[in-house]
Amino acid sequence: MMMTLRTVQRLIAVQTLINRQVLCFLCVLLFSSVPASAQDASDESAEEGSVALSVEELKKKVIRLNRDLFILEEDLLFPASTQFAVFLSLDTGQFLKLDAVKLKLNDDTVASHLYTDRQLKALQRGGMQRLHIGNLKTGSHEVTVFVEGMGPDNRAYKQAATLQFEKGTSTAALEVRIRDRSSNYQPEVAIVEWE
Amino acid sequence: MADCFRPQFTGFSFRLACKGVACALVIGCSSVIALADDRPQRAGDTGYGMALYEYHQGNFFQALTRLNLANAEGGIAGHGDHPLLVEGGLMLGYGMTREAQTLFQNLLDEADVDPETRNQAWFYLGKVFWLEDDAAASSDALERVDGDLLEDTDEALYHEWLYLKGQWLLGQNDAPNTAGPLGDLVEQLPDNSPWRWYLSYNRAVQRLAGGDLEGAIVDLSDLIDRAMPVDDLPSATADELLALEQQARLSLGRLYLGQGEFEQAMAVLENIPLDGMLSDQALFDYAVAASRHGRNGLALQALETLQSRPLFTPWLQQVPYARAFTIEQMDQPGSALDAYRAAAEHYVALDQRLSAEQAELDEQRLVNALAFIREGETDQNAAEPALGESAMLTDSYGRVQVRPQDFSLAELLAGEPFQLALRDLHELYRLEHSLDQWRRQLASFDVMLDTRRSRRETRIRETREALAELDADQWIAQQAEFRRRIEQATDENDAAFFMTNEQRALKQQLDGVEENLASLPDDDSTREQRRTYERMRAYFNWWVADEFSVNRWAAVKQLRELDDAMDTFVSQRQLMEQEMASDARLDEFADRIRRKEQELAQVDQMLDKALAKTRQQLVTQVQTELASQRREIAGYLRASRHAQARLADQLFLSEREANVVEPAGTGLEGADE
Repeated sequence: MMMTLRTVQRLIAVQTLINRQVLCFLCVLLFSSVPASAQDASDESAEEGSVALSVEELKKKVIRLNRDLFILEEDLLFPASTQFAVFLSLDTGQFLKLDAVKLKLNDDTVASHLYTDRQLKALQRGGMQRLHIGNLKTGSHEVTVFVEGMGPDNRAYKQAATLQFEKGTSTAALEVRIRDRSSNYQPEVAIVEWE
Repeated sequence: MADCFRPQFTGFSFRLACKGVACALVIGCSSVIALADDRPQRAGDTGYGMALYEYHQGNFFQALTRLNLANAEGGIAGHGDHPLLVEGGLMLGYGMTREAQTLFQNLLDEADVDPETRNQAWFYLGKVFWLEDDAAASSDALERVDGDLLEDTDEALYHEWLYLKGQWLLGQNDAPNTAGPLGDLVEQLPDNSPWRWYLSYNRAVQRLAGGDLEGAIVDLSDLIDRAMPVDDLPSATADELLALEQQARLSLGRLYLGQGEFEQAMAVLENIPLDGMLSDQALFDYAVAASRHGRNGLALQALETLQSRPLFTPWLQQVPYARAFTIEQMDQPGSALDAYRAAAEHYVALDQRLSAEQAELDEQRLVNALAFIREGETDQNAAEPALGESAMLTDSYGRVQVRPQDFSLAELLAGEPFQLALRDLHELYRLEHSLDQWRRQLASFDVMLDTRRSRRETRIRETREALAELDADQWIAQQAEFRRRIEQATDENDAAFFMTNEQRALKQQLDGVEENLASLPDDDSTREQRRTYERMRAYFNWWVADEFSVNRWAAVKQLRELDDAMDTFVSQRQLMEQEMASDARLDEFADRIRRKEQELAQVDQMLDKALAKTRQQLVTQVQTELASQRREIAGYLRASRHAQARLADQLFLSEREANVVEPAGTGLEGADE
């Protein structure tokens, strides 16, 4: 609800009419604008409505197309038998201000991310970020996550978590879960498997 | 009558537009608040979690896509109907009000929706109708909301609900009957709620429109008195309250001005800070009040201050004329003549500029006249974001954050139709970028499939070569030969055929001994050896005969194992041959890619049309605005020239009169002057 210049300009626009009524004594001659006819206004409104409708219809179509293309992309690039994804969720706020995350899979860095305030807020409000998606063959693997941020008392905070897991023949999904731990007033980083 | 209602209607429209940011934020907040009372709950579904991640960043398009994706991949588990409320909120924010309406109606048609969700769905449906200007349907939906339940579920939504109900009452234009309920609604809203401020302000505007000036003054004075210190308010609402307080003072000042209470008007307007957002209007109104109060010096001072500022908005263009008028009122015709002349020159130059702008107006020039704001941007010298750029800052209804760089667009920019058209243009460019990305992606898929086909062909060739090297057909012939010989030996009870390796080695030794004995003379020295050999041979024959069944079984078992291995080999080979003969999976992908490319092309055409229409709509709006401004400026110019001519005549006549009178005096003095 920030007051922007646009809002102020709207305030200006609203008061312009009153302004004009009050200021008639100064320049009666000046307000000689010819009002558009009712028919013109009606045509304009119908035109605006039709554009809005077509834009809305277009948005709907593009969203569906976008969805189908995402499915096609996943089927093509990340088939279910080899698909491996890592998500990140943040159930914290008091003990950690997240700055960055780095993800290693079998000692190879596969993802790293620096967070903006907007992304952090989205995570804090229940959002879940897909940190990595790729393909992985069946067998044993190790994933490690490194988390950096500002911890309690505004101190730099770094923590890592590791998980050994077995990749089967279906999609594998892991979640890096960062949350407040009230028992020792510290954040906690854990990697959990999604069933 | 129509004119009486116009300010109020505009006020309401403005209020609604102004609250657009807040409305969508409330939807955004409430969606999460509804998940848990105190803090957000973890998403129980990765698809939903990703949608929320995009949603709370304001990426409506991506969030809607994610929700669609999650629904297509089996739905969202563990969150009940809440994702539908989120999707509806997203649609509202993304300007898909009709889709949102359908979604909420479908949700309400379902039988097994929990009461909290149903209650919120009624609220959102009411809001959709309100945004669609269908007041009756909106009121009907809002009346179905259980206020107590909504207050328990989500207090912020409850406050907005009270506000919307109040707005509906105001829309009835039946002040005598609606004053009581409206007052109750205002009282139910907390003092620090922006909804209360807006409802109170709008009530004052309605009273003004209904001719109840006293009532409007009371309402506005009350609003100013109740204004809380900014430090006591959350930062998110502090600026808004400050703006509204100044707005209330400005409106009150104008009311006093309208009633001829100039001193009071001046007193109220004086409290609007000079560096405030409404100081231009306040200064102008103050000048009017001072002028009417006979204090032209103060009026001129205010107008001079305004004149020294950039005349940013079109209505401020009356300042040069008003300044000249005030100087004339101060009985300084010479200075007034100069001021009118300067005003006329200003208007001529302005009209020429507007005329040139009108002639050269296109989308590019229009965009150049606007300054867009990028997310988190602090560097004033940074390159301006372009329409369609995802980092461009937008409000919760997708309207781009923009400032006019050309004053002639300032008022137009403040209007809802222009904002909506600009939002549409921005969204359409974003869609275009998204489609461009997919077009490139699909092209890369094509390349990928070609590569896969080529690699597949290489592998097939290698496999065929490997199979040829293995001579697999010979294996099958050998297997058949083994079977035939085993069966034959079984039929003939050929024990020797099934002998073990040990037996075969022993037989070989015995045959060797027999051969040696045959070459030796048959005498006493070899007789004993021959007897020993015969005993050994007899024992060997008995042993072989005795183990015949066991040996035969072992051979048959091996043959069966070989059969099994050969069967597996044959079926694998057939499968491989099938795989090598057909490209079914790749063909299916290729088909899907081709179909999506066709869809993409169709949507592209629609997009081009929509872009052309939206561009045209914007340009037409600007053309109309510029034409209207030119008409107004022509009026100012005409008035300035008339006044200029009048004053010039007046000065000429008074000079002539002075010259006529002069001969009676000293004569020469007048000529010098």
